[in-house]
Formats: sequence, structure tokens, C-alpha cells
Amino acid sequence: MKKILATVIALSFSSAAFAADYGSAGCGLGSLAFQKNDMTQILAATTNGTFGSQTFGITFGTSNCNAEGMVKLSMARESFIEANYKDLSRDAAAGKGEYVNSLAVLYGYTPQRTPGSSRSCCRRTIRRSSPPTTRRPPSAPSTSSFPLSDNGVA
Amino acid sequence: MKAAERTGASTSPVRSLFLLLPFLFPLCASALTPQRELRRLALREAALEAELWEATGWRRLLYYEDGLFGGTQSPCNNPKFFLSRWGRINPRLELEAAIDGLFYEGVADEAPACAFPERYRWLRAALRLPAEEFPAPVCPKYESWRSRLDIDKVSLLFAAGYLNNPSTLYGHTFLRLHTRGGAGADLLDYTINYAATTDDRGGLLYALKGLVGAYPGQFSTIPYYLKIQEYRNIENRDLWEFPLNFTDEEIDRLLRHAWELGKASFPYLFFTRNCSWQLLPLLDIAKPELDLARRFHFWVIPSDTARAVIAASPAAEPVWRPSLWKTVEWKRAQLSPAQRDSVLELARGDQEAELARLAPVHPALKAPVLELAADYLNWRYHARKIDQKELDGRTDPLLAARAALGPQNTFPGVPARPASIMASHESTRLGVGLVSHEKGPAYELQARFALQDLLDDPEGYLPDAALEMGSLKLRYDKNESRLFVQQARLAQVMSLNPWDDWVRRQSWGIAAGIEQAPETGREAGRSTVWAMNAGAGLAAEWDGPVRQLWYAMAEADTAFGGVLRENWRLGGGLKAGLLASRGAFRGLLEARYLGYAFGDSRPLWAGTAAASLKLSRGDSLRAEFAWRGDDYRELGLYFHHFVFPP
Repeated sequence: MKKILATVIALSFSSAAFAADYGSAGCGLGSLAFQKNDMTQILAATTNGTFGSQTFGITFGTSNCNAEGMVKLSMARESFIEANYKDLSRDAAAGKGEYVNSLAVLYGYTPQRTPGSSRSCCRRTIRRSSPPTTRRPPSAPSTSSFPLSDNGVA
Repeated sequence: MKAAERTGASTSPVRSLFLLLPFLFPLCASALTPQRELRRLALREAALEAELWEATGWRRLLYYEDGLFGGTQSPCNNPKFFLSRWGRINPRLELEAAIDGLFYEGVADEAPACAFPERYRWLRAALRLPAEEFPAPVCPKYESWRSRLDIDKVSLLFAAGYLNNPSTLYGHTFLRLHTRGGAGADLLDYTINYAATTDDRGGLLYALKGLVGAYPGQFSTIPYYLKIQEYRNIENRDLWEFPLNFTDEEIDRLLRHAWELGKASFPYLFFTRNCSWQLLPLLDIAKPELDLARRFHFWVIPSDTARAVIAASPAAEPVWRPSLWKTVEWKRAQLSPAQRDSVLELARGDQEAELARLAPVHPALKAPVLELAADYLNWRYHARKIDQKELDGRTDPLLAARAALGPQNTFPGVPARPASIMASHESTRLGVGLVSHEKGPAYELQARFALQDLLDDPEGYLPDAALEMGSLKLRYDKNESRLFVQQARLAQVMSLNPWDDWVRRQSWGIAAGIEQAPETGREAGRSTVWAMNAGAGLAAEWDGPVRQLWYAMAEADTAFGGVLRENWRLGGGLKAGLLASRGAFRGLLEARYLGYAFGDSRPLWAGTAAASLKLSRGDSLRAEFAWRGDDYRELGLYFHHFVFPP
């Protein structure tokens, strides 16, 4: 279930997240830098120095963060997806991984750790779920091809 | 704003401003009743009698330190961290201001007890205040922050050394706050991180400001997933997680004080009061019996603080999060040579053709190839080999093809965990040596602040690397009855990267310091020069019964000193060597030839053949034969002992 969930969400959300003109990756100066999809900017954003301004306990907030220096609850999913977009899409394509697990938790699912159970769970879910209606980037993997996986060898 | 809402905001601006007045001056406006006032004075009296401001707890919470010339001061330079105007330099006035704060009557969130929850917890306990007389304050902001940090475990995180950024050569430490019931979603946790807020990036000014503490250091709560992106992905470092067994009460204390630290700012000093040290007082406050901060003085490096923290907690299994490259390497090792070629073709070659060629391949064989190719591209992006456009362009078709294969059991298991820093030697090395050269024997005393050279056992540290700071060798020549500095090296960094077609990373090294140049014709002790060199080249590994690492570098070299003709020389040449290791034995052969174009143009031909034997975690023996120029030869036998830094 979480795989499908994650795939759909990661791929549909990402286009929205990247289109919107805000940086949701973190708080403080870091989020500003994350707006630019440029390697050096990301590097600058995440090196020790820049995040120093993202302190807490004092009144300091940006659009993504509350005054206590934490990611706003309403922005938690967007922040996570934007900061980890590449890792999420790789996990989503493989149908497993730490990033999709964490995303599933963000969406209220408890991670299932038994590898065997996930297959049966997902095939069932897929049969029930309707094709995604949200828009997705043109180059992204097709989610509808996911259920056609019965020839998979474990 | 808040006050205006409480008093009915529908009034005119002038009137609401009027209504605001009492809230702007809460202490003056709300005078205490005579009884409360007497109680306040009595509490001050009690604190005075008990000399409470001298208590360890109070001193720790405000970071008071005794100055060299008497007096007490807190390094925290943010006035918001103190209640008294003189709080920074006077613990007693600060304590009295805190006692006055107990009688605060005003907006809930703005009570001193809400700004400094741990300070007030300590004060209530120290003054034995009855809860019915002084009920716990209502602090909605703090409570909401604390409820989002529902923590049941704290661990110390250690990001391994990173040779490509001078400010984190020795690693970084921070705390991870484990959300209650958050197992399986580690990425969603928060961290507590201390870092300098710097404006410049690199450069001499940056280094100087860092040395004198011109940058303010602040605490922040950064989502763990951002720290993973930073260390594991962008900087390609291993992340180690060491669980600290804090009780719920200790975690409460930690977070209460962390809240207070949001208002604090300390001068950030690269060598002493750095990211790694500043966590220690915080841990000491959470768990007073640790008493870690006092153990560090002149030289604080993250691996030492991490070891000290972990040693003070009962042994727990560390968790290892391998760097991006190590993950790729581990996955690559599970593929057949044909699959590996396929990965390379997908990531670097003609992807379209390769995808077409893979079409009939069984999904169970194809899935790992596609996954690894995507991982490898991700590494290439973070290693700055490709740009975002190429990353997207090449990754998306791979993921589409992979998703079509459905669930596959690719890459089961996890990489084997290497030795942690708990197995590595202490950072400072002391040594004694007996040296023989043509003119007779000499005795040597050595001290090196940090951390490893090529012959030291690298277990727990970076392999195939030298990272030396402050290395001093004093020599006493018996026949000449002369004591002199054989070597005083400021720094030496060497990073040997075995050639790998997937990585294609070169090897490099830099060194600077004082050394003897007996090739000039003057004897050792009278041929002091200041030398600096930098080199880059390639290394290759052969992993047989004896592991061998061969390397060759082009090197630029310069030296200054009265012993040189024209007092200096500048030139270049070649350095080549072989590092061999098996078990406790390590051997190094290195030779270099340098020609000089400027200044003293006599060439330098020098080299060394050395072997070391690790006796225990903290001791090793070393034999070294070295030559320099046509005439100078020496043979030395050394005993090294690693100690906790002073």
C-alpha cells in the first residue's frame, strides 16, 4: 500500500512543489537556497554555517517554519518531498526503501517491516485503487505499470 | 498584538495602545502585594546565605567560567540569555534576577520561567519551593514545541572526517532526537546541531575569524533528513549513530535546556569551542554525572568528544549509515561483471541502446542493474561529475523501466559495518626514538596533536589518508651536544584514493612546516628551512595476501631558509610510493625527486623506507630508514603511544 501511496504522492506532489515559488526544504536561510535547483546552492544551504540562523526559542520564522524553528506541520510533507525528491523517486521506482517508508509515516501509515507481506498487500491495493488523476511530470515513471508485476521473481 | 486581543481589539488604535501600556511594563505595573514582596526578599536572603550562585548547577546552566585573572564570565554573548543586565559577568546578580522572576505576573509565554524552563526547575529545587505556592508556569509556546519533540531516545551522531573541507576535516558531531514510536521512519526525526554562522566561504579571513572566535555559534533543530542529505549524500561521509541511554528525566532536562539555548550565542572557536565541544555542556546538564566539558582544553576534535561521550554511556551497538559511495560500492560487489558493464553503459554511455539491449533480460537480473545505475548517477551528481540536467535526463528513463518490473528482491541485507571510532587510537601521539646517522647517535622526542599518518593504524579513521596537525620532533644530537627541532609540521594532509573507473578520483597531498635540509651540506640542526609542498596524482590498489597501495604524484615544492642559496627555492618533481599492510604490520616506501627552477637550484633526492607494528590500540613500534641528498642517511627506531589530548 505504502509503495503505491508513495509513488503517486511523490510524483504528483513534486511537480506542484517545484512549481511553487517557495523553498520548503528547511527553515531559515537554508530554505531560501533550496529554491534554486543548483548544486552549489544546495551545498551552501546544508553546510554547517548557513543553518546557524535556523535557531529556535526566539521569534524567528519563515514561511515554512514556525517561530520555534521547526518545520510547520502543514509543510512537513512538502518539505520532506522537496528535500528528498531524488531519493524518494528512486525508492518509489524500486518499490521499497527508507524514504518511502518515512513518507508513508508522514501520511499516517505505520511502516511494515516484513518484506513478504508487502507484495500481497500491494497487489491487493492496486486492484482496488483507481488510476492516479493528479498530474505528474512527463518524464516520470509510469505508476500504472506498477501492478503488472506478477512475473517478478523474488 | 496578543495583549490587544485580550483586551478587546475592536477599539480605536489610540485606545488599544493605551490598553497595551500595562503589558509593556509588567513588572512596574503589577506591584507585588506586601506579603509576596517579603517572600521575594526572604528568598533572596536564603540564596545569599547558601551562596547558591556558586553551585555547580547554576554555573553550568549559565556557562560561567573563572577568568585567568579572577572574575567570572559566561562566554554567551547574547543578552537575551540573561535576566539581569549584569548576568553575563555576575552569577549572583543573575541568580537574584531569576528569583525576582519567580514573582513575574504577566503574559504567560513571556514569563522568565517560560524562557528558561530548566533554569527555573533547578532554582525551584535548590530553593525547595513548594509547588502550591509556586505552581509550574503556563508556557503554551514551549509546551507546543516540546510536544512536537516527543522524544524517547537520544543518540550522538558522528559524521566521519571529510578531507575536502578544511573546517570539517576531523568530523562533526550532533544529537539526534528519536521520536517516540518513530522506528522505521528515522528520517523524520529532528537533530540538535551547533554550528557557526559564517558569512565568508573559505579563505584566510575565514580561518582567522574562526581562530579568534569572531563567528557566533548557535544551536538549531535541523530535520535529520537534511543532515543525511548534507553528510551522507553531498559530502559522501559515513554517519555513525551512538545511542545514549538517557532516562526520560534526563531527556526532559536536555530539551528544557535546549529551549534555553535557542537564545544563546557563543563565540565559535575552531580548535576549542567548536561544534563538537559545545554539545558537552548540554549533555552535562542533562546528565550531570557525565562531567565531560571539563575534560577538554586546548584541542577539541569530534572523534575525541564522541569517544568521551560514548565511553561515559554503557556500551550500546552503534548504527552505521554508509556514505553514498560505499552504498554504491556494496551494491556493485553483488553484480556480475556483465551487469556492472551494463550499469556503466546506462549511467555514462549510450543509455537508449543499452535499455533496448536489456529489454529481453529477466526482470530479476535487470532490476538491480537499473537500481544501481540510478544510485550511481545520484553519486555522480553529488560528486559534481554531472549536472542536474544530465541527472534528470538519465535517471528518469531508468526509474520508469525499473518501476515497470514491480517488486524485486534486489540487494538483500546490509553492508558489513566497519570498525567504529571506539576501536581507533586516541588522537594525540607521543613518541620516543633512537636515531643513528653517520656522525653518531641522536635521541628524539615526538609529540603530535592529531591524528594519523600513513603508517598509523587507520582503524575507525579514514583509510589511506594522512591527517597531521601540530607535529613536533625534538632531537638531541649526542656528539654535537645539540638540541634542535628536527621537524615542526603545521599540517600534513594526504588523501590516497585507489583508482576506480567508477569514481576516477585523484590522490593529493599538502604539507607545511619546519624541517631540516641536510642535503644543503649543513648538518642536521643547522639546516632549518620552512617548507611547503602540494601534489596530485594517482593511486592503485592490489588486494593480495599483502594489501598494496601504489601511488605517484606530481609535486610542487618551496622552501625558505638561510641555509639555502638565495635563501629560498621553488620547484617541482615527482613523488612515488608504496603503502603495504597486513594485519598489525604496515610498511611504506616513498621516494621523491625535486628539481628547482628558482632560488637554490640544487635538486633534492630524498626518500624513506619504514615499517610499523601495532602493539595495542594505544601503542606501536616503528623503524624508519630515511635518506636526503647524496650524503645524509639515518636509521631510527621509535615507540609511539597515543593519549587523550591535553
